[in-house]
Amino acid sequence: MSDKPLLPEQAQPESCTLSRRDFLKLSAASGGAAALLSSLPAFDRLLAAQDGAVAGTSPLSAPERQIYSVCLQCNTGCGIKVKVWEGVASKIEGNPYNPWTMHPHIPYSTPAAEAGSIEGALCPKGQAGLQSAYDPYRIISVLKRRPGTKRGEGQWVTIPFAQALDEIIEGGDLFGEGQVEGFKDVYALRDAKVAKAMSDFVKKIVDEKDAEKKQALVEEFKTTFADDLDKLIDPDHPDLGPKNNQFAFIWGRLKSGRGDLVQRFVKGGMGSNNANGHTTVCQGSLYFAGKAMSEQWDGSKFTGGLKFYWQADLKSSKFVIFVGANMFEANYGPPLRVTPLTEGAVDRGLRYVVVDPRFSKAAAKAWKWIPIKPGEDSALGLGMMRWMFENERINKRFLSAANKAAANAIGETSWTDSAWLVHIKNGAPGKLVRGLELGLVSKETEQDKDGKDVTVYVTADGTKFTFDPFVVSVDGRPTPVDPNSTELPVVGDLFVETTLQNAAGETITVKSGLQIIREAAAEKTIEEWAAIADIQASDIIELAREFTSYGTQAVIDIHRGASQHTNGFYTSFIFFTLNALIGNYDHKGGMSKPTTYDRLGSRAKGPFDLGKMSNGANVAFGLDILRTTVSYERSTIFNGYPAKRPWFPLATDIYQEDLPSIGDAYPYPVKIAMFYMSAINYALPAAHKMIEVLADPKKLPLIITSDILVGETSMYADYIFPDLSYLERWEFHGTHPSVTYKVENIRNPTISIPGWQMVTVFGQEMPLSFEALLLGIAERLALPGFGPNGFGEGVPYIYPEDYYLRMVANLAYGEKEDGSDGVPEADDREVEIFLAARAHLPKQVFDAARWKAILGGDEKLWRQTIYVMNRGGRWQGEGKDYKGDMLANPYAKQINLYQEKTATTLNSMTGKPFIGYPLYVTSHLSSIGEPIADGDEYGFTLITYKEMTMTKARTISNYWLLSVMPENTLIMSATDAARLGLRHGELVRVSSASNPRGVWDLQNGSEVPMVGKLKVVQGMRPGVVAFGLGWGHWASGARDIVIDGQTVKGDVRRQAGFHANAAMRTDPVLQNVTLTDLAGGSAVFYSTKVKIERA
Amino acid sequence: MTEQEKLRPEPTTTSEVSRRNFLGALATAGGAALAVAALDQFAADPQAALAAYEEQIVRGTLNQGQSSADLRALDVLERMRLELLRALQKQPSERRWVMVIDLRKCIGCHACTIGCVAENKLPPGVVYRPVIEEEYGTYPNVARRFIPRPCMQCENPPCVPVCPVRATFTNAEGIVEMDYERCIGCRYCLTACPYSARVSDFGFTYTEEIPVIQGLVGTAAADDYERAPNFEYGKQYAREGRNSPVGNARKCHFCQHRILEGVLPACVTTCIGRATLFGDANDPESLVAELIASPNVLRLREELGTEPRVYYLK
Amino acid sequence: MAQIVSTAEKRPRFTLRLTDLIWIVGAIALLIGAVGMLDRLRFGLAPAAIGSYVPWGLWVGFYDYLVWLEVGSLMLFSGMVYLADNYTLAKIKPLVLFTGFVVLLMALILVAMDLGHFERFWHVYLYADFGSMITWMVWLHTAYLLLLAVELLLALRGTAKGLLKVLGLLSLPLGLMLILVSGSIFGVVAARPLWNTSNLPLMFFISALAAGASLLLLLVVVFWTDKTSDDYTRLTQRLAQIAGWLMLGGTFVAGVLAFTILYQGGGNPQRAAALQLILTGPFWWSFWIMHILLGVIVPVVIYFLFYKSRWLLMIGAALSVVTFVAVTLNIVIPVLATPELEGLAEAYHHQKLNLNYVPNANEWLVVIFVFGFGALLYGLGLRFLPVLSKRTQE
Ligand SMILES: Nc1nc2c(c(=O)[nH]1)N[C@H]1C(S)=C(S)[C@@H](COP(=O)(O)OP(=O)(O)OC[C@H]3O[C@@H](n4cnc5c(=O)[nH]c(N)nc54)[C@H](O)[C@@H]3O)O[C@H]1N2
Ligand SMILES: Nc1nc2c(c(=O)[nH]1)N[C@H]1C(S)=C(S)[C@@H](COP(=O)(O)OP(=O)(O)OC[C@H]3O[C@@H](n4cnc5c(=O)[nH]c(N)nc54)[C@H](O)[C@@H]3O)O[C@H]1N2
Ligand code: SF4
Ligand code: SF4
Ligand code: SF4
Ligand code: SF4
Ligand code: SF4
Ligand SMILES: [Mo]
Repeated sequence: MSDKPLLPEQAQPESCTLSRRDFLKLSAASGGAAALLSSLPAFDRLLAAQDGAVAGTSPLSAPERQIYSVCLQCNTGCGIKVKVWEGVASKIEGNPYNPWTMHPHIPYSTPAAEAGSIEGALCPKGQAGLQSAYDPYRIISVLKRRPGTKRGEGQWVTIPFAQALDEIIEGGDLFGEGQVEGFKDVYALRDAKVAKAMSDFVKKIVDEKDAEKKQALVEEFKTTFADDLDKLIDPDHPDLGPKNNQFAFIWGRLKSGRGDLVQRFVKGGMGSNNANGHTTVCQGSLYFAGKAMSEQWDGSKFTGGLKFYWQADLKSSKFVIFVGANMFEANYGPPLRVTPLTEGAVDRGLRYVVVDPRFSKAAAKAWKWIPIKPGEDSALGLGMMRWMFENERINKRFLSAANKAAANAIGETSWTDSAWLVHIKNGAPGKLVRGLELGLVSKETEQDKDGKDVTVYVTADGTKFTFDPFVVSVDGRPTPVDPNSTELPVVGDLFVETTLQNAAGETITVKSGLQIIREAAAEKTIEEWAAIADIQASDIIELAREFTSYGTQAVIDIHRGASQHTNGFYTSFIFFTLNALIGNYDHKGGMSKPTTYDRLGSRAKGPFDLGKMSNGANVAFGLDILRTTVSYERSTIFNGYPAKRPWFPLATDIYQEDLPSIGDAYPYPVKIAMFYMSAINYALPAAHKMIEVLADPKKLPLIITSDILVGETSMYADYIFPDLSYLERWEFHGTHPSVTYKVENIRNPTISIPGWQMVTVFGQEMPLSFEALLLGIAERLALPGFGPNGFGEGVPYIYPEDYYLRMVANLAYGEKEDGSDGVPEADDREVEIFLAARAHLPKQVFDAARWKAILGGDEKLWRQTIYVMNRGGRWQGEGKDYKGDMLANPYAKQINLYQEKTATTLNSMTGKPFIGYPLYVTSHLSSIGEPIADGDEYGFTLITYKEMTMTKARTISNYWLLSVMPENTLIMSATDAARLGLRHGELVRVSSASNPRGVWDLQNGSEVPMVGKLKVVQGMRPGVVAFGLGWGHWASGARDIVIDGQTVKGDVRRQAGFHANAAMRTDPVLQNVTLTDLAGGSAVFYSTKVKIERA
Repeated sequence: MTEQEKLRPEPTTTSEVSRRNFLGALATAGGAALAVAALDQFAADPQAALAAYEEQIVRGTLNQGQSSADLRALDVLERMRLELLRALQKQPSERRWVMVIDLRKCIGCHACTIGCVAENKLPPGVVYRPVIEEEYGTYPNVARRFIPRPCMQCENPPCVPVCPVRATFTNAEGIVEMDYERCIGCRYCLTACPYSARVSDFGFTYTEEIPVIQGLVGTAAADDYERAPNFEYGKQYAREGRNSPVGNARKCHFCQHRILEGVLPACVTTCIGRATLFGDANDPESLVAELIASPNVLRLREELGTEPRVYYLK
Repeated sequence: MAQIVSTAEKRPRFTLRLTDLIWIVGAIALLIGAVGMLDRLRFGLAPAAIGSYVPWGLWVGFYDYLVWLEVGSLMLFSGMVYLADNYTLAKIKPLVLFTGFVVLLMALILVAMDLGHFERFWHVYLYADFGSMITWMVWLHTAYLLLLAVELLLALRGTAKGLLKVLGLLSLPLGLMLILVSGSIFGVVAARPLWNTSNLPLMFFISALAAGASLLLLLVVVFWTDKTSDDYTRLTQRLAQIAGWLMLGGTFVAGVLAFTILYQGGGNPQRAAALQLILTGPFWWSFWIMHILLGVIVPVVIYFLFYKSRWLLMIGAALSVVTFVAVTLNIVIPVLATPELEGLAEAYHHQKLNLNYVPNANEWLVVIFVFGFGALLYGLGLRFLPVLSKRTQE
C-alpha cells in the first residue's frame, strides 16, 4: 500500500504503530493492571515482552476506529459500525445499539467506549458492503454521452462538474442532435404567488363535476392568468399544471434526508409535481391496501391514509403465517426478522407456516409449507375466513367496537368499521349509511365560539355530531356513530342484513361491513377455495384452526408474493382483514406499524423546525405524469373509457408507468428526467419496454442520472453524475413495520475515497455527490429554499450537512418542546471518540467547527448530537416497546374493513367503481380486467424471488457474495424436468407470449438472451419456475464501455447468470407496460406464463 | 524476527501461550469492556478498579440486583460475550473454547461465511467457513439442511502431525494455529484434514484484473480494502506480493485475535439465526457447556477420533 | 524420459548421436517448459490447476513416479549386483547411478515446485518434525541424494570399489525406507480411506521395483553396446522376467485391495467412491488403458513371450516405464477428488475450490521443463562424462 495516498491531505493519519487506545491499554497493563496481577508467576517477564503482543491483537475494536452508520446493501437498513483502518473501511459489523442486529439491543446508555467490542449480526450483503464502496467500476467524474453517439452505445466523455451543470441548465445542441431544453426552460413558472393562485383555481376546475361549467372555468382561468399562460404545459388544460411539471424526478431507492432534499428541490424548488418513487415495483399493493385501510374520517371525508403496512411483531408471536414473504432470504430483513423466528421456533415454541410456491429457506424450517398456486393466495385467505366465520372463531369483542371510545373501553387502541352499515344497491355494497337519511339525526345550525354558523347533526336525545354520522346496529337498533369519539362508545351488531325505512320512507337494504365480508368468504366452499389455490382443504382448516388458537399472538405476515399480482390489493386486504378478525392489531405478538422519531423537528417545534424553515417555496400543482393527483373523470382530459393509460386514484409512485407514460406523452410530454438510484429498466417486469423510451431522445429529450457506476439505467443517460456510496453519505433510513420500537437510523460518512473530487457549490467545496448536483442546480437557478438564506434569513443551505446535521440535532433534542426527552450530552471521552473516529475524513466531509456552527454553536446540542452520532441513531430502549400486552407504539386508529372511499372511486379503464371490501379476484388480468390467454406452449408460471446474497441491480459488484453464488438458476420441479427431459445444469431459455424470442433488446444493436442454468429440485411447485434477482447484467461493469476514448473492459463475473424480467407479461391492451394492479398500483411479477426450452 | 514474532506461542510451551493470552485478557480488561476513562483509576487502585469493571459489565447489560440467570434475557451474543470476558480471566490452559452450531437455527444465509471472509480478508478461493446446503425428500415432503463448516479445532487434529515443519500446532487454548512464516506450503495438512477445513492461499485478489482508467475509481483505491491488513494470530498481514499468507495453508482459528480482545468470533457475532454459539466449555455456567450436554448433539465424522471442538445440534 | 524412448525407438544404433539428441531435445523441452516455469515462479501456484480440494496433482504424481523409477532401479540394481553378484549388470553401474541421480534431481525440482514457499525448504531441516512423513521423506531424500552423488563420483572415477560396495549396500535400506515413507505419506492420512491402508507402502515398494526393473531393462536394451553377446541376452531375459513378475505381483496386490474395498463398499463409501472414480470416473482410460493395458498387459506379454525380440522388448520396457506415471497419478488424484463432505464444492466458488481436477497447461509445462532439464543434464552427462565409457572398464 506504500505508494498509494491513503488519506487525503487534510486528514490526520493514525499512527501505524500504536494508536492512542493501544497506548492506553499498554499503560493500563504496565501500570495499574500490573500491580493487580503481579502476584501471578512470571508476570515481570511478561511485562517486558508485552509491546508487540498487545499492539498486535485486533486493533479494530477500538471505538476510535469505528463509525456507526446504516447499511444500504438492501433496504432493511440495519445499523452498522464501520471499522476504519488508516482511512480505509476495513470491516463492517452490526451496530449493537440498534434493534435490527441485536435482540434485544444493548442499552442506549452504554458508553461508546464499551460498545467498541460489542457487535450485532449482519447478513452476508451487509458484510460485503465494502465491495460496493470500493467498486473499481465506480465513476468519479461526470460522464456525458459522447456527442454523435446514440444513447446506450456506451461512449462517454468526462466533463467538469461545473460545465455539466451549465449544459443541463442552459440546454442547447448538446449532442449534435438538435436543441435540447435545459432546466432553465422547464423552470418556467417561478413566481410562487402566481403558482398558488393557479393551483387554487385548478382545484376549482377539477372539483367541478359539470362538464360545461368546467369548460367555463377553464376559460375564466385563461383570462385570469393571461400573462402567465406561456408557463403552462397546455393553457387549454390548466389542470396539467405548469411546464415545471415537465421535469420528472424518478427514484429507485431513496431514504429520508435525501428524500427531504428531493421534495424540497423538486416541489418547493423546481415547482414540479413529478417526484416519483419506485413503490409499485416493490410491494405497492401492500402499501396502498394499507393506505386504504388507514384512511381516517376527518369530519368531512376519509383522508390521511398512510402509505404503509403492518407486519408481525415476531418476537412475541406464537403462530405466524407468512404469505409470499421470503423471510430468510429477503424481506425487511434477515438480521431484523430471522432471529426471533429461529430462536422462537427452537426455544419458544413458535410455529410458523410458509405459503409460497417455492420451497424457500424459511419453508425449510417452517412447521408447514403450503406450495400455493401463484396468484391465488386470496383463496386460501377466504377459505380460512369462511371456516372462522362458520366456527365463530373471530374476535367479536374487538370487531364490535365501532369507534374509538368503544375500543378504549375494552383496552383496545384501534378499531374497525366492521359493524357499520353499508347500502346495498342491486346486491352490491356502496356507500356507508348515514344518520340523516335514516332520520337518526336532524340537521341544525349552531354558532361556534367565533360566532360563525356551523351545521350540526343532533339526535333525538340531544347528542350532537359535527357531521352526518355513520350508523351501526346496536342490538338491532340503528345507532349513529362518530368513529373518533372518545366519549360515546358504540358497540355494534356484527352481522346485520336487513332493510330499513329511510327518512323519505323508502326501503333500503343494508348490511354490516362484516356481513359483507362473511358473504364474500362464503362465496365458495372451503373445498372450492382449496381447489382455486390448488392446495388441500384440510390445510386451510388446519391453518385457520391454528391461527385462531393463540389469541392475539397469531398473525399473518404478507409481502411481495401476495401483493405483486393484479389482485394484490385485494389479496393484501384479505389477509389484513384476517388479522383484524382475530383482533391482533396493536397487540404484542400481533400486527405492528412503523414508528420513527421526528427528524424534522415539527413535533418539538425545534430546535430546527425544518418543514417551516425556508426562504420561500414554489408551489407545485397540476396532474403528475402518473395520474394520481387528479381523478380521471374530473380532469379536463377525460375522454371516456378506457382511458388512454390507467389513472391511479388510490396509489402513488407507479414506477412502471413513468417511462411508458413519458413515451406516450400521456398526459403530457416530459422534457427532463432525472433518475436517482434507479435501475428502472432492469428492476421492472417487462423492463425491456422501458429501454425503448430511454433510448429515444425524441420521447425523452434529456436524461440525467445520479449513480455510483454506469448502471443498467445510467447507460442510457445523457449525463451521469457520480454519487457517494452509502458508506460516504448521509441519510435517515427510517424503519419497518415489524420494528416495535420508536427509532431513527442515521447514515453518515464513514469514509472518503482518497482523491475523491471536490466541487464548488455556493462558494463551498464539497464532495461530488447527489447533493452537489441538486445544490448546484439550485444555485444556478436561484431556487427558493436553497442558498445562503435557504433555511430563512441568515440560515444557509449551502452544505449537505446544513440539512442533515440539523435533523440529527432534532433527533437528539427529542419530541418535547422543553427538550425533556432529549438524549444525554456526550461526555469528554465520547467527544474524543467522535472526533478521533472521523480524523481520516477530509474537511469538506467532516469539520467539527463547521458542524458545531451549523447547530448554532450550542454546546449542549452539539454534545447531544455527538451522543446520537456515536450510536448511529436513536432508539427506544429494550422493553419500551410494550405496555402490558399492547404495543407501546400502536397504530391506534380506525382500520377500514369496508372502504367507502375505495368503493366510490372509479377505475379509469372500466368506468366502474373499485370494490370496497376484501373480495376474491382472480389474478393475471389485463388493464381492462379481462383474463389473459397466453397460449398452451407457455405452460409454466414464472415467479421470482430474492437470493440472500443479492440485492437487485446493485450487488453484482460484491465479489465476496459472488463466491457464494456466482450465478442464478432457473429453478424447476424434478417432476417437470423429468417430463421435459431437461437435466440439472442445462442451459434453458425463458420466453413468453409478449417476448417470444426470449431476449432483452438493448436498443443499441445488442441483445441479451434470457438463457440460464436449470436447477432441478424437489422443493418447487410443479408447473412453476422461479429465478432469483440480481444477475444477468449488461451494465454495472459487466460490459465494455468507452470513456474519453479509452475502453474500460467489462468484468465477465458480472455477466453471469440471467435476468428474466423481460419475459414478464406486457399488458395486452397497453402493450408497453407490465400487468398492473389498478387499485394498488403493483407491477406484476408472478403470473406470467412462460415457455422453457433447451437453449 | 519482530518483537511480535518472538512472542508468538510455541506449540509445546504453554507458558508462552499463557503469557500472550493473558495479555489479551489484560487488553480486554483495559480496553474492550472497561470504559477507558476508568483507566486512571485502574492505575491508582487496581482492586477497586476490577470491581468497578465487573460492575460496569453488569450495568451495561443487566439491571442491578438481577442474577446471572438473567443473562438469558439478553441476546445470546451478549451472554456469550460476557462469558467470554469471564473466561479470559482464567489461565489459557484452563479454558476450552468450543463452538456449537444449532442446525435447527441455521438458515443457510452465509453471513458467517462472508463475515469470516471480511474479518480475515480472505482472498478469492480461500474460505474458512463455507455453508453446505442439501435438499432431500420428495415433493411435497421436502427438507433442506444447511451445514456451516468451520475448522473443528480437533482435539486430535490429523492436520498437525503431518506438518513437516511444525507450522501448525495446537495452542494452549486448544486452537489449532498456523505459523504462516514457517509454513512451506506443502499442503500435506490439506490432504490430512478430514473436513477439508484447510485451504491454500494461491495469491489471488478480487480486483487485480480490473482496469485503472481515468474517470473510474479503478484499482487505485478500489483494492484498498483488500490490501488492508487482517489481524490473524494477533499480527498484521497486509496483502503484498507473494508474502505470507500467500502460499500458505490457511484455516479458521476461532478468531483468536478477536477472542483475546473480548470480542466473539466474527461468524458468531454475525450469525443472524443465532445458530453459531461460542464459549468456554470448561465454564459449567456457559451457554456452550449447557448445550453440548444436550441429547441432540453430534460431531462430524466422529468415527475418525478427531474429537472436534465444534458441536452440532440437530 | 519420453524423449529417450522416442529417440531410442528411432535411432537405437547410433548411441553417440543419440546422446546428442537427448540433450538437444532436452534443451528444446526446457525452453518450451520455461514458459510454464516462469509463470510458476512469478505467480506461484495460482496458474496451476491444483487447488485446495485437490491440493496435489500432476506434480506430486510425477514426483512419486520419478521416485519409483529412481529408487526402484537403484534398489534392484544394488540388490542384483551386491547381493546376487550379477557382474554383468554391474558393468553399467555408472550409467545406472547417473540415470538414478538425474531422475532424483528431477523429482526434487518437481516437488520443490509444488511448494507454496519453496524458498523455505530449509525449514524442513531446521524445524523438522519427525512425526511427519514429509520430514522423513525430505531427510531420506537428502541422504539418498548425497549417497548417490558420492556413489556416482566414485563410480565415475572408478576408485574406492570397497567403499562403493558399502555405499551400494547402504543404498538398499535407505531406498527401502524412502519408498516405504513415500507410500506412508499417503498411507497415514486417515482422512482419505483409500490411502489409509498399510498395504499402500507395500504396494509402493513392489511397484517401485517393477518400474525400476523396466527402467533397467530399458537402459540395457538401449545402451548395451554388444547386443549380440550372451551377456546381453541373459541380462535382458533375466530383467524381463523380474519385471514381469513384479508387475504381476503388484497388480495382484492392488487387485486384491480393490476387490476388498469394493466388496465392503458399503462400509466405507468414501473409499469406494474414490476407487470408483479410478475405475469408472472420467479418467477411467488412464487406469484401464494406460496402466492395465499398455502398462501391464502388453509389457508382461512381451516380457514373458517375446523377450527375444529386441525391438519388442524395448517397446515393452519403454511402455512400462512411461505408463507407470498413470499409476502414481491414479493414486494421488482420484482420492483427493472424492469429496470429504458432500456439497462442499458448491458451497463456495472458485476455480481452486473445485473437485474436478484436470492438469492444465501450466502444470504440463513445468513437467516438460523438468524433463527437459533432466534430458539436458542426462544427454550432456552421457556426452561429456564417462558414464557410458566407464562400463567397459568394469
Ligand atoms: N437478499 C435481499 N433481501 C432483500 C432485498 C434484496 O434485494 N435482496 N430487497 C429488499 C426489498 S426492496 C424488498 S421489497 C423485500 C422483499 O421481501 P419479500 O417480499 O419477502 O421477498 P421476495 O423474494 O421478493 O418475495 C417473494 C416471495 O414470494 C414468493 N412468491 C412468488 N409468487 C408467489 C405467489 O403467488 N404467492 C405466494 N404466496 N408467494 C409467492 C417467492 O417465491 C418469494 O419467496 O426484500 C428486502 N430484502
Ligand atoms: N425479478 C425480480 N425483479 C425485481 C424484484 C424481484 O424480486 N425479482 N424485486 C423488485 C423490488 S422489491 C424492488 S424494490 C426493485 C428495485 O428496483 P430499483 O429501485 O430500480 O433498483 P435498484 O437495484 O435498487 O437500483 C439501484 C441502482 O442505483 C444505482 N446505485 C447504486 N448505489 C447507488 C448510490 O449509492 N447512489 C446512487 N445515486 N445510485 C446508486 C445503481 O445503478 C443501481 O442499479 O426491483 C424489483 N425487481
Ligand atoms: S439485511 Fe443485510 S443487506 Fe439488508 S440492510 Fe441488513 S445487513 Fe444490510
Ligand atoms: S478440522 Fe481439519 S484443520 Fe481443523 S483441526 Fe481438525 S484436522 Fe485440523
Ligand atoms: S502446508 Fe504448511 S502447515 Fe500445512 S503441512 Fe505443509 S508446511 Fe505444514
Ligand atoms: S471463528 Fe473466525 S476464523 Fe473461524 S470461521 Fe468463524 S469467523 Fe472464520
Ligand atoms: S450465519 Fe448462522 S444462520 Fe447464517 S449460515 Fe451461518 S450459521 Fe447459518
Ligand atoms: Mo422492494
